[in-house]
Amino acid sequence: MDLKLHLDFCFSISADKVLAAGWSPRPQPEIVLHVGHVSVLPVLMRRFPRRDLRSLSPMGFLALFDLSEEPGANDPSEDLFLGMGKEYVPIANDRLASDLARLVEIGVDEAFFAYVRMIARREITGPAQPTARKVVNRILAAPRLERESQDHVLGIDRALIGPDGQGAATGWFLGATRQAETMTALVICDGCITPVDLMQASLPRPDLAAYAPRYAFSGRDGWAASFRLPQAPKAQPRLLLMPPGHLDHSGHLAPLDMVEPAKVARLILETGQGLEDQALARRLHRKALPAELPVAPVLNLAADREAPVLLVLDHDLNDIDLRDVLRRVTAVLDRPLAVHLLRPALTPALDHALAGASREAAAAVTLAGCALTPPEPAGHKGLAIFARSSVLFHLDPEILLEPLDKTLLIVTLDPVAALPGGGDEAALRRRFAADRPPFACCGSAPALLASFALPSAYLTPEAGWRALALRALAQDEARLIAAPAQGFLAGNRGPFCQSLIESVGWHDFDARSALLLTEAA
Amino acid sequence: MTRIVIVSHSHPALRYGGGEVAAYRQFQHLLSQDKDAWFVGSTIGPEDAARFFGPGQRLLSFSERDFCLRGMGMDSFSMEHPRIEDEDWILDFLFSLQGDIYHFHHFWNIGAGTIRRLRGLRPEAQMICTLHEMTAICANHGQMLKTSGELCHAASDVACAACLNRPPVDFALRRSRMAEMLDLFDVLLSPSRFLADRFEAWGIPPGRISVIENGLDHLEPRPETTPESLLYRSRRFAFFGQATPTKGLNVLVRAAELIEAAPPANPITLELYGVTAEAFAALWPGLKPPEWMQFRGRYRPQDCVSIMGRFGWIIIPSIWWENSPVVIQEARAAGTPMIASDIGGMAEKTEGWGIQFPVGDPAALAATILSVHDRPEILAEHIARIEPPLDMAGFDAEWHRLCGHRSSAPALFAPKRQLHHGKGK
Repeated sequence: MDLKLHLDFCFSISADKVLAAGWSPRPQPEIVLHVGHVSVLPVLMRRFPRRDLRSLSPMGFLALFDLSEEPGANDPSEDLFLGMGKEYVPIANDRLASDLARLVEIGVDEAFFAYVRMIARREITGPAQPTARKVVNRILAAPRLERESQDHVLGIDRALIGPDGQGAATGWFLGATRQAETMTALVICDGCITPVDLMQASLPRPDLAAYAPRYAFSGRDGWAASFRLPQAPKAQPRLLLMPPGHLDHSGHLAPLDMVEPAKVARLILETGQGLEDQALARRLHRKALPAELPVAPVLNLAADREAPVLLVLDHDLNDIDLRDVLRRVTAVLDRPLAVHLLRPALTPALDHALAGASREAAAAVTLAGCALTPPEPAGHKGLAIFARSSVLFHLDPEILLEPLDKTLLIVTLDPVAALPGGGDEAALRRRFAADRPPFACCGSAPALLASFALPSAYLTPEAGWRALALRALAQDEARLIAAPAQGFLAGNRGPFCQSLIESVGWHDFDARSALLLTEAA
Repeated sequence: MTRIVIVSHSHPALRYGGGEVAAYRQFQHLLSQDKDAWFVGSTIGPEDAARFFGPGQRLLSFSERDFCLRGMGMDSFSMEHPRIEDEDWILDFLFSLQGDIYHFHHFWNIGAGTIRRLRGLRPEAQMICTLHEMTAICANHGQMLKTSGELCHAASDVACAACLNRPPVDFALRRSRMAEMLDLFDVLLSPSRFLADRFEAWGIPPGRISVIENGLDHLEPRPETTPESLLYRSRRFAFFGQATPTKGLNVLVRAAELIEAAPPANPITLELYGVTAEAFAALWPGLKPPEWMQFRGRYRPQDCVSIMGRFGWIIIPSIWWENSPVVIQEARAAGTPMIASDIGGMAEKTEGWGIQFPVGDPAALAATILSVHDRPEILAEHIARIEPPLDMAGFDAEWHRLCGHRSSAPALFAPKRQLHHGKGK
């Protein structure tokens, strides 16, 4: 029997990670990567049968080497050899850059899909373009698995993706036997693959008991998954579920429903309730958030004080009460006011309230826009104010218009600040970040609106502004003051005051997201 | 000549409520004095409007000075017109009257925004408001009666939120809007001390509200009393009012049931005016009034005083505060004493000549009725204590005095404030 080491491909995954693909009939081949005088053992070895070798034995392998673990191993000037015992195979430098493309083009299915699953498990990072698109093309061209076979049966209950690439899915999976290997998943979209964090056997599904005679039924055969695409999806995204084995098939492919962000959030919360382990629930939520919050620079742009003031308003009161809120603002304003309502639609009551405020104002009051997201910065060069209506009703809005030597003025309704021992400025900042009290902020419109050009991690614009405010405070570009909060009554109307699930609303979800992002940072 | 515009939330030609009746009587009296007076009422909502108005029609004219606006329906919580065009039209109409004095009896169907903008357009005019009920304080029909049925003693944002199942901030905003609107009036009037006290407790500065009873002309002489007539009347009791849940008819019927269980030796009658047996049964289907309790149904308002004169006692068992019920003035005009609930405007207005019983207590009411039944001497004693109500001439004189007008000829005076209200219309 040929007991030699056969190396098919060997390529760099990143600056210090190398993946080797090949085969060996030895059950436990002692593969070593020699880099100059340094020898590196694989940090991960995946074995699998290959049809071309006409054997059911798992002779194929993918071996991952981490060169950063051995001093001197990541020296690019050193020659590489892949060895097993006394055998070794030299690896020409150009292979490190070109072999991945070759694996994708001519590699056997088993090696290719083992590679794809390593990406799905986040054991390695996915390829950059144009290779990524070729990977996608090969996945799509490969035979697919039916949802039910002799080896498994699976179902997808919900598979949702939001406009910023946040997504979650739930379903169930039963194998014919209990297997150590678990199902993996990817999202395919816009020529890219994105790993999905899939928690198999995490949700109770007693309703699947009818499958028990044919498959390994445990009672907790539901799976939960979440993911975040690196960019907002343009084309129809699809979820690829890859059950254990079946490396000659791509997997089970299903379209993701493109929905508004709140529906994804609701699915994450509902699913999290079903997960017994709250660490898993937090993981489910976390994986739908960006790895890092996209950060726009805090622009130190002076506002044109002659231009109309832009009021970006989360109107959390009755529609008809908009008139009183705007009257409070126009009463202290000597310039025209442009109002951008953070509402999905301009209802007749809002429309008439705006007209009513306009009738009573000394300067023009106009509607700049009405949408759940803030306006584009273009066209707004004056001051901009963001607030909830209930905050503006409570505050004297004049406080927001005071001349400021910073980019941003933040007025927070912190009930602790007015207490005898509550005046500490650092504590005020800490509570602003952690307790998330209601606030209003004012600054130049370009500075205030710039960060919303990026995909958002949050459901509410308020959370985005709080993040901006915290960045600006950290950079000494903002001033935070506490207004008396005693007597403040928060509104509970408008889209951002809706409940996602019992006792958890949009602001609560954003608070959890912010905490998860902070923990990650 | 000073132009006086009387503005009411309704028009007595269409609905006969205390506030609009008081407003209209004032208008008629001013006209009788050859004053330059105008009356602007309104229909309550779209239902009335559909009945009385054709397409595109916004006004009914009862005379060249007497108008009824087409009410488009106003939420009494917000007290604002839902459509700004309706506010524009009413503002235009009121402004075009070029009143020197605008006297508002209520602000429902007129709107807080209309009043703010009229103030801005006519800063030199005197603006007066008579508070006929507690609508500015209480969003539950201005009655300060909790939805659970308990009497409410003070409004607060949180307590009101619990009562009416709305967020507290709604009430904070409403309170702010109402207080701002009331602050725009040069003169605030109340027909009862009780009502003025409630507004002061709510936040209106003490002394800002003047108390002036609604005027009621009472031309008919009181019925002559003889020992026989007093004995006859002392066995006769009556109720005047509508079959609404807060009028306490259920308390009265339960009291009658208690009396029926142990009836007095001599006859007793109880007649209900303004209520039909059907209307009563619809509200309280479980109650069975005794036979000596008669439903007399509707009556002509102008006949009220003469009908009251046939009775010994008029009972007002309301389970809400009442403010200054017309029925009390009418009983005074008729010279008929009252048995009244011991709260609010009823206690205030019947003090000295009426008998009060604990509100909502049928047993106490039954005992009170029996304590005066067949007792002509008690009846005579109470009749003797009744003072006639303020007539319209008296009201007019008092009105001019409280509003700072010179004697009987109202003249312009320095307004309370010059307000800037933007571009107005």
